[in-house]
Amino acid sequence: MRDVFVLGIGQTRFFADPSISCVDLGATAALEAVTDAGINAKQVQVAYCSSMLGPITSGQMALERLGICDLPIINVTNACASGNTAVHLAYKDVAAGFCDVALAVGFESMTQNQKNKGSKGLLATKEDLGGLLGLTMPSFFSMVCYRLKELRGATMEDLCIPTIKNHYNAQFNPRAQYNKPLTYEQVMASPRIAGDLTTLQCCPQSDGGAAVILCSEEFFEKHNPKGHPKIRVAASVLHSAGWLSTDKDLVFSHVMRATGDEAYKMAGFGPDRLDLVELHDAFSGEEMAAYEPLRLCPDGECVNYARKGYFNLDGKLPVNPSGGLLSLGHPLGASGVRVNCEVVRQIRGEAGGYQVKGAKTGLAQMLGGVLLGGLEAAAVCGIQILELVES
Amino acid sequence: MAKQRYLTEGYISKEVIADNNGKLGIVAHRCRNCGKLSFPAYELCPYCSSDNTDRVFLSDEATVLAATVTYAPVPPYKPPFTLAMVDIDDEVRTLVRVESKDLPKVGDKLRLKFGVLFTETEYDRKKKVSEDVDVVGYYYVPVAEESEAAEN
Repeated sequence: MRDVFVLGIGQTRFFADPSISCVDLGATAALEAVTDAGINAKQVQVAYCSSMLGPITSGQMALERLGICDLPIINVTNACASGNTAVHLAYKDVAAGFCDVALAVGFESMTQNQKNKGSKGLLATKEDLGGLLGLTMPSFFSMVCYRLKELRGATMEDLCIPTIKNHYNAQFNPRAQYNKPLTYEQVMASPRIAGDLTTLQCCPQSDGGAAVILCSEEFFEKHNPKGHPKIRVAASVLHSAGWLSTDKDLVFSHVMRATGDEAYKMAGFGPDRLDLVELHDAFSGEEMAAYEPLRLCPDGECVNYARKGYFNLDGKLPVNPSGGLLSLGHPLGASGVRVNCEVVRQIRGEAGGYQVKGAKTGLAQMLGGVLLGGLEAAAVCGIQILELVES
Repeated sequence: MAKQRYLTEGYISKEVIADNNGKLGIVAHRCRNCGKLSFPAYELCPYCSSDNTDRVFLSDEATVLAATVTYAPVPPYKPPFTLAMVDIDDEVRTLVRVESKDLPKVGDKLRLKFGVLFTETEYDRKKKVSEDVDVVGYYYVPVAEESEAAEN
C-alpha cells in the first residue's frame, strides 16, 4: 500500500434542470477535474463512474467526450454511497500500485431519469421485505426521529436544527440548489411526508455531477502545474450493514460506527482532529442521528451538542458547511464524490463564504440504501478522510 | 372468488407466509448451530451462516419500538398508512404494517392478522384476459383496540 493524493476536483452546480442529461453532467464535472488537475485527460489510467439511474455504460458515454477511452472504465452503483464507492475503488487502484492516476466521477439527473422510471425517489423496492410492506426512505427516517424523541429527548425544534443550519450555510455556496435561510415555522408549514417529517426536513431531488482525480505521490510531485496543496487520502473505508438484531436501535447506526472507527484507525487520528465533516443529511433528523455513530460527540449527547451550535459553520466542528444534501440536493450517484470535493475545497481554502477557517482535515461520508428485509438499515456506509500534508 | 397470492410470492422466493395447522402464520428459522431465531427464514442463518436450521412460526404478538404514518402514495398502498418497527418473541426486530386508530406508542402490544392488502390486475397471456388478484399479507392491530372492539 502506498499513499494516495488528490490532484484535481470538479463539480457542476446542483440544480433541477430536465434539459441536461446525466451524461452531460458527468462530462462537465470530469472536464473540470482534469482542468483543475492541470493534466492531459489521456493521462487518466482508470475511471470509476457512479450513477444510479443513468443508462447502461453512462460512464463511457460521459468520458469519451474528453478522449478518456481505450482504458478500464467501470460503472458502479451502491445506493447513496455510490460516489464514495467510486472514490474508494479509484483509491484502492492507486494505493495498490495498479495505476498512478485514477478518476472517480459521479453524476445523476434525477429530473430526467427518475421520471423515466416512474417512481419518486421514495424507494419501495419489491425485492426487499420492507419495500413490499411499503417502506420508504422518509418513513424509515421518521422512525429514527421517533426514537430520537424517545431516547434523546429531542423536540421538534431540535429535529429541525440540521435543516435550518444547513440552509443557513448554503446561502454562501453558489453551487447549492437552495440558497435561502429557513425558519422553524417555514420548515413545519411545508407539507408532511411521513410521521413528523415535512418536505423541508427532506433533501430535494436534484441533478449534478462531481469528479476527483487521485494519484500517487510520485505523480503528484512531478505533475502539479497549478501548485495545489498536497492533500492525502488518509482513509477510505466502505462497509455494508449487519443483521438487524434486537440490540440494535434505529437511533444508532452500527454500520456507520463500524465504518467510522475503521476510517479513524486507518487515518491514525480520531474525530478530535477533524476540522469539518460533510455527511449524508437526506433528512434533518438523519444528520442528528449521525453525530454519535461518527463520534462527533459523546454517545447520548447529539441533541445537546446540536443545541449548543457545536456543528454550526462557526462552531467547534462544522458539519455540512456546504449546505449538505438538504440545500444542494441529492443527485444519488454524484453526492458521494461531491462530499470529497467539498473537503478538498475546504483544505485548499477555496470554499469562499462557507470556508472553515484553517481547515486541514475533513471527513466525507454517505450512508445509503434503506432495506428492512433482515439487515440493519441503512445498508451501506462509505467514508473518506482527507488531510493536508504540510511541507 | 378472485385469484389470490401471498404478498411475498414472486419477489422473495423463500417461504414467509404459510399454513400453520389450519391458519396462516409467519415462518422463521431457529438455528441449531448458534441458537438464534431469524426472520425472514432465508437460505442460511444470518448470524452464523449455518444451514442447520429448524422451520418455526413466530408468535402472534409483537411489541412496538417505533411507528410512523406515511402521507405520500407508495403504490400499491394508498396513504395514509401506518408502519411500525416491532419486536417479536424478544428476538426478532422487523418492520410491519399496522391498522390502528392512533399512532402506536413504544411498548404497545400488537396482534398478528392476515387479510387482503390490495388487489392487483394480472394479464393472463394464454387466455388473453386481465383478471383481479387479491394479494394476501400480514398486518398487526393494537391488542387494546381489539378488546375495545370486543366490548362494543
